[in-house]
Order: sequence, then structure tokens, then C-alpha cells
Amino acid sequence: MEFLNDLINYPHLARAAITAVIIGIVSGVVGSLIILRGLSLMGDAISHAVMPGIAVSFFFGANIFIGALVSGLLAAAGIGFVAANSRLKRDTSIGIVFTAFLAAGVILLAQTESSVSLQSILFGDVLATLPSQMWQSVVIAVVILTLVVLFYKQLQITTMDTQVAKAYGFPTRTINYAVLIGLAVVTVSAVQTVGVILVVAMLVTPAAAAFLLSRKFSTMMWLAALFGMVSSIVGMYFSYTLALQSGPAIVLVAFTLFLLAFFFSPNQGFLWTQLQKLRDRRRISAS
Amino acid sequence: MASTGLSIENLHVSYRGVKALDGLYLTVPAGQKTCIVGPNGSGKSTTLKAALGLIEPAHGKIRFFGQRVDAVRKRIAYVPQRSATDWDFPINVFDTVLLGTYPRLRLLQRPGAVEREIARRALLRVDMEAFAHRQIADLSGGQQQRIFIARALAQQADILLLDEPLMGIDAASEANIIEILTELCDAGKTVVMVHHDLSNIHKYFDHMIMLNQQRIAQGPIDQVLTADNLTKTFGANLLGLTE
Repeated sequence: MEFLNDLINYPHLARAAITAVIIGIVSGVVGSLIILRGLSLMGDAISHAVMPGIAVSFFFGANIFIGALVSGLLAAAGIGFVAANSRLKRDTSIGIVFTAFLAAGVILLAQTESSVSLQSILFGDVLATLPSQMWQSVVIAVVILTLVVLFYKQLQITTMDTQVAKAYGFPTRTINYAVLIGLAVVTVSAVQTVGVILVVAMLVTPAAAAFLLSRKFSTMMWLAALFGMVSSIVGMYFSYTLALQSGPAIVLVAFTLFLLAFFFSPNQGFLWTQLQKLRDRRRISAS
Repeated sequence: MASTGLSIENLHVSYRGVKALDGLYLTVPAGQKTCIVGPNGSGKSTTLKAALGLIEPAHGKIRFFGQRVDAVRKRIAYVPQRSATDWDFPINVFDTVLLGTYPRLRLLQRPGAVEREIARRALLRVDMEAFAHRQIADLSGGQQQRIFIARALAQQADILLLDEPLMGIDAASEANIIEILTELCDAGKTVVMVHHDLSNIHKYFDHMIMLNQQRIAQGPIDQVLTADNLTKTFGANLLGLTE
């Protein structure tokens, strides 16, 4: 197969594929936490809010990852602050804060002589992944996955039932902040592969497909990691062979997996429940 | 001399400037079933949450068995209102009951054979062993409540705080729950329950606290459940009691 050959022969392609797969896995795991905790919109907000951080880092020649992360976390804190100190609901607060960050980012980026185009930040450019960025993704993935395995018990109970977890004496507030920081770290690293606009798809779509197929929290995280990985590798394949943009290709593969889960999931899939309804109707009219 | 399971002194709680509790004093005798009654918005659930430190009181002294709550958390089981839980969370009945053993585990320890046996027995006790592998999303209200009771049992706590566990559940579940709570008290445990049905208080409880932002009355049912106290608490004599 030509794709496999080229993977071996072209280091930049291999780097891109490895980075995409790693980010696919870790996004699936963190995404599972995010959708069960109702933080999907928060992921979207953080991803858009990294823009001013990227621009400022360029300007001062600082590390882009750190700049983006700080910017994303500042937005998350701002969203929490506005929601807690007004009668506005959380989603409204998210809409206000992240668009302001995004607008500031677009203007700031236009002022810098950056080597990175707005296009590549918005839609990602996985083929431009540097070796340092690949290793960064590896380290992030190892740290986050290790923490999730070690603290599975804490994550499980605080996600399912915060009140009881708190009554048990679990540090729910600390765990909340840890999850938000994890979300920000993964979001910022996924911007590289799929870009600011599509990051939320990497977090939410594989996890949502896994949710429809899982009866257990740990199974859901494993499946979401698998779906994230498959989306990345299959998306890269189509992107390479059909000359499509990699980010959108990866996201569309993830969406296809979601559709399959949505329609064909045993017991709770759309087709299955429709069929069941039809059968019930027949039985009732026959009797 | 009966010992005290829970004591609250001068508890003040406000939500965004609105007073929910205004100088509440109460004592719950150990080894008895106590109910807390009062009208909607009188601060019953708030009392339990503040006692457990789930919400921050503006002021107040709270002691479980004479100690601060953080020192004795393992001895306290809390059964929240059913609406507080995410019932779509991917977990089955057995694993939900197993959560009750989590407070006894060390930081990185996972539940093992001992914990699984405790959970199995708790599930058996609420007559739900046939449902062990069902998803919690597929349970009825009464079954959900029994699972909560089983989770509290698995904690092997000395005091149970329950927030309206009998609300909207079937008669069989209600009977099962009351029977279990009575057994726990016979074994020396303390039960405190927020309750709304005044008609069965004599049958179900030993001790009663009437509250409406402050304590109106507390003591054995016979002494407390009077026309005068009902009127003071609810603004009307709901049971039509006569002196």
C-alpha cells in the first residue's frame, strides 16, 4: 500500500500520523470526561480562546504551547467568574467570553509577522508538525492517561454524583480544576492536528459514539480512545491519498463512526428503537 | 443517658442573600430514627447539606458524635434526593452500590474481593440482586432509591442522613427501606431522614424535629406531634389534631 510505504519513507508524514493518533487517543479519553460532566461547550470555548495566546507568544518569541494554554485557561476562569457573579447562565457566559478572546486573537495575529497563517490555526496543519511538537504530544498523552488510570475511582464518582463524592470526603473542587486543566492541555495540543474550529469534534464526537455503545465508564473511555485513534489514522489516509485537508478529513471520519453508533448501537440505536416501536404497534393492533 | 449522633448549634445559611436557616439548634439522639419535617423551603435539605459541609454555612457549629464532620466522614452515609444524580451515567447497579465502599479505600486503591462481597450483601438486603447487571438508567424510582440505600449500607456507616427517600416511590420499596432502617437502629446506628408525609410518622420514627428556618420543636413523636406545633411549623394544623 502506497500510504504505508510513504509513512516509512517520509518522516514528516510519519510524525504527522503519530501525532494525530496520539491526540486522537487522549482526546477520546478526556472527551469522555467532558461530555459526562457537561463541559462540551467549555472545550469549544477553550479551543477558540487560545488565539490571543498564540499571537502574543509569536510577538515575544515565547513557547506557543504555553501561550495558548495560558490564554485558554484565562478564558475558562473568565467564564466561571462571569457565570458565578451574575444571573447569566453558563452557556451565555461561554458565548460572551470566548468570542471576545477569538476576536482579540484575530486582531493580534494580524499585527504580528507570524510564520503561521490564520488558516493553519483555524483548520490545523498536521503535516507541518515538528519533532518537538510530536514529543510534546507523547509526553502530554502519557501524563494524562497515567493520571486517568491512577485516579479512575475519583474521576468516576465525582463525575457521576458530585454531592455524594463530596460527602465521602473526595476533593471535588480540586478534581474539577484538574479536569479543566487537562481539557485545556489536550485542546491546545489538538489545535495542531485539527485546528481551533474543529478541536471540539475530536473531544466530543468519538466520546459520544462510545457513550452510545458503553455500559461502563471505563469501557466508554477505551472505546472513545479507539474511535479517536481510528478517526485520526483513517482521516490521515484519505487526506493523503485524496489530497484533502487533514483536520476536516479526520473530523468527518469521526462523524461517520458516530453515525454508525447512533443508528446501529444494540438496544439504544435509532434503528433498533424504531424497529421495536413498529413491532409493538403491530402486536397491539393484532391483539 | 442517650448519646448524641448529630448536634447543630446556631446554624445560619443564606442563598444569594435569602435566609434558608436562621439560627437553627437541634440534636439527634444516637441509635434512633429521627425525622425532620417542615414546609417546602423551610430548610430541611439545607440542614443536611450544611451538616455535611456540602454547602458553606454563614455561621454554625456542627458535631457528629461530638466531632467535626471531616474527622468522621467515613462514619456518615448520605442519601441525596434522586434528582441530584446523573442517571444516564454508564454504570450498572452493582458498581453503583460498590461506590459505597470508596470512602474506606486508600488514595490509589481499587475495590477488591472484600468490597465486592460487602456490595453483594447490601444489594441482597434491598432485594435487588436480580438487577445487579442492569444499567441504573433502566430502573424505576423505587428501585433507584433502594440502590441508594444499598450504597449507604455498603458504606457501613454509623449514621445515615437521608433526603426524602420515600418521595414518589412504590409501597413495596417504602416498606423495604423502613424495615432496613429499623434494623440499623436496632443494631445501634443513627438514622436522620427528611420526610414529608405526616400520616405515617408514628409508625416509622422514634424522634421528630419540626423546623421552619429555625427549630420549632424536637423530641419523641408523642410529645412533639401536637396541633400547636403543626400550626407553628406549617401555618395550619394539617392533621386536624385536637389537644
